[in-house]
Amino acid sequence: MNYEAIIGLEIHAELKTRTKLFCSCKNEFGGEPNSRICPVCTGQPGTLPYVNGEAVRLALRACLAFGCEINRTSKQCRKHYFYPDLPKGYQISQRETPLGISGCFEFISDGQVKCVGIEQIHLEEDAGKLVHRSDGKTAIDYNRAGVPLIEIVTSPELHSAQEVRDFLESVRLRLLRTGVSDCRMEQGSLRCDVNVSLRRAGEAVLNDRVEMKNINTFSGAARAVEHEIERQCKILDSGEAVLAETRKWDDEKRESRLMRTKETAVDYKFMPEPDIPAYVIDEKALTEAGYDIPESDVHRNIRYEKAGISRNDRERLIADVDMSDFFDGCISSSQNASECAKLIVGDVASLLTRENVTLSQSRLTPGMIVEIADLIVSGSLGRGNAKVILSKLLKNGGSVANAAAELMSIDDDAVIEETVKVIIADNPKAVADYKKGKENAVTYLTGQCMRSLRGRANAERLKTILLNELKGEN
Amino acid sequence: MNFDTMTVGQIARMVSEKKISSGEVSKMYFERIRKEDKNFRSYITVCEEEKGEPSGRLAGVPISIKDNICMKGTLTTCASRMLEGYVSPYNAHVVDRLSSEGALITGKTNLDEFAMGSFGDNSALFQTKNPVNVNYLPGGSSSGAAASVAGGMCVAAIGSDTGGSVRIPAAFCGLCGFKPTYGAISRFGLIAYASSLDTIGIVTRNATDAKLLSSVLFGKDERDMTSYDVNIGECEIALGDIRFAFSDKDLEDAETEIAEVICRVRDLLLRAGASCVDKTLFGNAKSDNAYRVLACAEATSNLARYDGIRYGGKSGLDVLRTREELFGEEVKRRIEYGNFVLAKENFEKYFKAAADERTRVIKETEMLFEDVDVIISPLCDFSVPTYSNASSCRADRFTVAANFAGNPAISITAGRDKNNMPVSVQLMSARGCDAKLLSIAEKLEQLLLKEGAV
Ligand SMILES: [Zn+2]
Repeated sequence: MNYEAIIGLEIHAELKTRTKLFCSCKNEFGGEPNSRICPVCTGQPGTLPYVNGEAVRLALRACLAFGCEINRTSKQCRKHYFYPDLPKGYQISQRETPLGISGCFEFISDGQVKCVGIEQIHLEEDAGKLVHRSDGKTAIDYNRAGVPLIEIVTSPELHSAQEVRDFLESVRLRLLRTGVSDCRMEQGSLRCDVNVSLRRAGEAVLNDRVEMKNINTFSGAARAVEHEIERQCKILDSGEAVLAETRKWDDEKRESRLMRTKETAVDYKFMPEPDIPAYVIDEKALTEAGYDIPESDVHRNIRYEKAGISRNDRERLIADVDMSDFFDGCISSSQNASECAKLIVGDVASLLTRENVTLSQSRLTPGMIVEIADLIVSGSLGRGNAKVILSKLLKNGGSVANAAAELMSIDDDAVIEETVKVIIADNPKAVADYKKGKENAVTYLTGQCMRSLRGRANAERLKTILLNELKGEN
Repeated sequence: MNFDTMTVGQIARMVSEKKISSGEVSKMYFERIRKEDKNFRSYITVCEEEKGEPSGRLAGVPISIKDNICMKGTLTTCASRMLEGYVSPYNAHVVDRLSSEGALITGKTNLDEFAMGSFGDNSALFQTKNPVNVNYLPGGSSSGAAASVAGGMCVAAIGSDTGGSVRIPAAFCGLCGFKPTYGAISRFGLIAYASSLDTIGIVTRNATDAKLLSSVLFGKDERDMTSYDVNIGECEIALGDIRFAFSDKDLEDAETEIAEVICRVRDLLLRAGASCVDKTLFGNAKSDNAYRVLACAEATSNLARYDGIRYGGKSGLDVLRTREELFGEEVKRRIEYGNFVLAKENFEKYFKAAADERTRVIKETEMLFEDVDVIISPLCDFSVPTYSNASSCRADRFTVAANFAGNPAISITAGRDKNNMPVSVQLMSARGCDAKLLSIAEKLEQLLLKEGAV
């Protein structure tokens, strides 16, 4: 039997704020257990939440970045359940009037632009963590309690494990580029639950959906989806019905375990949060949250495509926030954008890995890449030498010309002069252009000389000699 | 020192004029507590410690704090076994404000468990007695607050009022009980019972003292997002210029003696030149039920944190057993009802309907106060009950309305019954009109005194 999988996601992302959502404890990761707690985030009797405006701004920013409509009046609510890491016995969350609703998000999967609906984005607090100790006892670390989260709920519009993976990766990049979250998967600052249901191909009726919890990586999400589709297929093929239930994914064992069925589902007893007045979102708040939201990656992809960047280079650039921002610094001032892209995803990327530094830690600038790309395209610099120059610049900075000069070092002016004379003789049209005052004729002639010298001359020296010779022509 | 009549104003003046030092006041009051409190049992914790010579508007003024309000390093029990031994790691906003004005905080007073009760007979720790006459109930839930003032063991008390919890015990003990506009005083550090109804309240001997303390405690506090600045400046209004609402309907079920006292208040006001309209807000069963639904729902939510892990954990029991054993019956009843109204299948019918009713009542109340300055009513339509006859009475018939709509209300003694127990009148006014309400109450007290009514 053929089935179509219908998949929806609930993505939790920690917001990149300085402090927690309702108190002034630092929002950081790691450190001594219970070193970033106070009476408010541990829910001590008598304490009240006071909302961190930065968190609301970032959550709004996320809503705008995912194309949501904004609820101009938005309210927090309480979601009740007992768990040792939940200090108040309820989580402050949102339900009826989340900050954002009815959004949509375009992403690229398998070279195609796809669009998935965003049902809502809401603001809520994280819980603490249970720490199972070696002595068999369980301790509670409340450092994470009260860290601001957004939950992004998608429409059930994804259809395969690969699509889930591509979507999650695109969401991660969007959150990173907008500065909403630092998306550190290994620190759990981006997590997701997956809902999977199947239907017979071509039929409209959906089977009950199964929710999968405890997914910590994108590859884990893909594996969980694949596994769940398979499990449900088997059940349906055997003529049984898939039951609505919540299952816990174990990525190590590659299996899921039943957590609760529909019958044992928890009633969260949602209630409006009386301690926090409703947020009234005005134009000013919207502007502050969204005036500088960067373009979408789908748009970026189109822009790069128009600039002649190959699909492979586009994908690699877009997947790396720093690199694509760096590349955007090149694209605006370069005639040879595709060469710049090639340099960045190729030599630059491998040098950064080798030196174990990030782009911003290195001394490279977009201007350097533009110059080197021009030299390569004009034929005056070989690719091997380009990498040597990049390596020097990355560590020491300086100018491309000097780095190139150090590399070549033909110190004998006579050799250069000889070359210059030959080039002038071979290029009467360029010389004529120069006499008419066309400056780029000099660039062209310099390039020709460099090529002839295999890039081993000092560019400044070469230019001086060339100009002298050209003036002598008069 | 006459402990039975001493007021905040008097002590503040004596200390500022250096007729007495705050150290001497402190010594006298702690001695008084040692001597008297074994009879009345108003304090759970007495905070006797040497302090330097304080300064401020309340320098040396002895004030007690209800034991559901946090004080750093001090036991805070809510008179519940659930919080036995719990020491708060921080100060409530009101404690900070009082301390910064030099007040002498005498200790933490008894209450009905988690502030749930009207009579002061629901503490899980011990029974507080009414200093006016120990055979009568002290009123609740701020039972110890009222008893500590009435017993001369401090001159003012900070309590909390969710449905009358400051006004009722003040009335039963012959004092003035003031519940300000919701949000006028920060709730930060007040252990929540029903967050949207809970209000810090003040028990004093008279409205003048209530005004003085309000001027210290009022004001927006960033730690309580529902707080805001409510004017507490001077408000001069003559009794002859006020327009008040009064309805005989409110006296239909009242004991005769009570009705007489309240009618005399009305007549005195009319004689002073005030005008009266026949309107009332009280006795609406639908809104009283809605109040109960919301109060219990919020209580259920607020008390969810007591799961035996961080508090009450010494019992070594699981969540359910801990709650079963350490919460009192009344608390459990309210939690159970709250769970019922919050259940998914009941939410619309109960919680949502109650919230809608509240919106309606707030509008109705606002409209009434477009016409009048205050509503005059009994505080309670029966006389102070004894231990044996309390259960049949409903003490909060006239008090919940102010909490439901967020209005300020004050109870002052207006007379005595045949057993010489106090009978009180309640004045309620528009939200934010606390200064006006206190001014009217102050003048009415003076008039009643002049007329020999009290
Ligand atoms: Zn904190």
